[in-house]
Amino acid sequence: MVNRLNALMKYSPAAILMWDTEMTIIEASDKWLERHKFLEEDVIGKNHYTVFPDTSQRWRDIHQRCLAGAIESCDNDLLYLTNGAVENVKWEINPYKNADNIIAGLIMISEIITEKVRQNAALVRMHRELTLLNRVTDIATKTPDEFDMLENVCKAIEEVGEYQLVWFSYIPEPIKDMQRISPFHKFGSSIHYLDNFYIDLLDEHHRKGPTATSILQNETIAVNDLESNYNFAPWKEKAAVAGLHSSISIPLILENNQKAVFAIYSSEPNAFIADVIEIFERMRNEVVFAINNIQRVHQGKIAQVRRDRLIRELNTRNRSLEEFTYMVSHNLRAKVADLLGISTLVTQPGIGENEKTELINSIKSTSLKLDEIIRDLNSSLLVKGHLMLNTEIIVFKDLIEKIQIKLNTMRPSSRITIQSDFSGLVSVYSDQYYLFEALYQLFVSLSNIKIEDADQVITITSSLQNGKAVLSVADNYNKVLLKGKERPVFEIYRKLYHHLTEGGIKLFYAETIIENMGGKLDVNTDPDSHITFTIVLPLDDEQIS
Amino acid sequence: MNYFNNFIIVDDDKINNKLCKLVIEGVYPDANIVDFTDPEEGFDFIVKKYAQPGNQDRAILLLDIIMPIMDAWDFLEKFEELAEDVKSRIKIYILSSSVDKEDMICANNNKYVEYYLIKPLNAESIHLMVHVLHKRLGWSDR
Repeated sequence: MVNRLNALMKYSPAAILMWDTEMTIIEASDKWLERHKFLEEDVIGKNHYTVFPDTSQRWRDIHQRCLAGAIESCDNDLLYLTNGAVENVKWEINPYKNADNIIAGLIMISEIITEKVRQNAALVRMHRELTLLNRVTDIATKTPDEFDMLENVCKAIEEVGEYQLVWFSYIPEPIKDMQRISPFHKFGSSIHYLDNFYIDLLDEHHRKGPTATSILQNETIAVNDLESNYNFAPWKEKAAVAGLHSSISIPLILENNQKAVFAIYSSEPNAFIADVIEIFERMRNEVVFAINNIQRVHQGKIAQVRRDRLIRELNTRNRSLEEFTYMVSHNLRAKVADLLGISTLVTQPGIGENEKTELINSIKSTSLKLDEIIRDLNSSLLVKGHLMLNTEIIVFKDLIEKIQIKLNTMRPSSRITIQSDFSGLVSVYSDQYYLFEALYQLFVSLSNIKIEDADQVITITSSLQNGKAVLSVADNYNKVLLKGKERPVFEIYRKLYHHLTEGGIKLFYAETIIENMGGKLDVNTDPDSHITFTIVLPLDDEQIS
Repeated sequence: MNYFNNFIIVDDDKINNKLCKLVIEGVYPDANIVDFTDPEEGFDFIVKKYAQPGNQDRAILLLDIIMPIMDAWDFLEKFEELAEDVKSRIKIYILSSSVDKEDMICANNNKYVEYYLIKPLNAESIHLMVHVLHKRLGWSDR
């Protein structure tokens, strides 16, 4: 029996220690002796508390409970060895009994599991890092906005990766003798470490720091012991206060050569081992890929917006040019053709004196009309895109009174009466001169439609529609103008322009002014109605309220 | 009468109408010329005179494009509704100041339009259009 016990003590892979009820050490396995650097004679027969005078109260209590019959154990405890080393240990203490079934002492079996614990911790950490990589990839793939994506990546590093602090920044261009990097996206419990924090890439000391080095050398730099790293000296004290013990700086270079950096800090030393660095570099690649994609899409969108705007401008210019060309072709050339015909006839033999006088008078009236057309065209071209608006409150009633006076004075034969109803909107904040001019040209255009002399009533009403001022101008005369026609609006415009003969250019002039005021001139195309022009003018918030 | 001696001018420009009259009279002093500044009145005249039973007169119609109430295209739409016999005796020439190609194409595409003339009308144009019409009908010029 003794031999068997000796054999067990000699060869057991576990450390075994036996006490009697007085806690005198009666057996110790070779493993236990080896662990504690004892010889048998150093401990056998001696009281445990004499051999280990610093035994804690916790252990003394455990011994007492076990001597009272308890069985106690621990799967991972810390064992402080006399040489100062700390090991992870698994132990169990059982009381053993004599032939009378009375507790005769205790037996403790223990096993050093430090390596197992380390491996397990590494596995847990790798799992965490892989989860983080997965999360970052997900964010990078699914977030369409660059700011949100970087914000969420930093947040994930802090939360999923359980890091103390993380920040990201683009690298700015140097300004004078400084090139300062300040954290832009930042997360973590030690965020106060970043108060007033910056890295100046042109500063002699800062350049040697891990983050600056990673940027300048385009290389991931891990510092697993910040306290003892010489190059980290400028930030060492602040980092110690913030509880930061290791860091990693990961540089990014984007497609457009823009540089950036991630800096991540851990509260643990040696957090950034080779496997972790590899995962972070893969994560960096995902982020770079995502930023490049987002920026490409963004550039594409900007280009599309610019293209659309250019096309709109070209279409508008094209339309104006088409309208202008058409009017030149008809209105201007009609008068030129008259003059050509008159000048040919007036010199021909056989033309009587009376007819000659009539023709010469026609030269004068045609020239006057031609002059008016040219002046209207000139005015249209001058205002196109060059209106300097002088906005003020315009009371519609007052404006129309002035227009009526001008019509009576300048065109007495037109016999226009303006009827107005401005109960829908009394006034507008706009440019009085140009609004007057546009409305006057519109009234003159309508008066030109008449074939024979007749009284003409033009009605003008105002209203507020969808936050805009709307003026409707209708006449009582030209109901049939659009009859039976179903042409595109532009065709109708063209038709209207030329029905209005010289007035067509006036209408073009009016439209040009209104469009340059930010408004719109439209015409009713309902063939059963009178011609109704609608002027829509923008209002600011104050006017609407 | 085997000649195109009747001329109808439809144009809202009174000066042009006067010019046309003088030019036509210069070429054909005995021509019957009527002019209208209102195209509806011009159309009514054609209906009243040329659509009368037994009437076999022929006429050249000089038609402006841009006119109030009814433009040349409206006029041609209404013209299409007339009897074939009437339409065959009225030869329509567009007389316009427009040098816009769209107008010319539009005129060319209309089966009732003989030709597109650009203002001002002159004696050569009158000679030419009458000559072409006579030749087509196998008549001799006056």
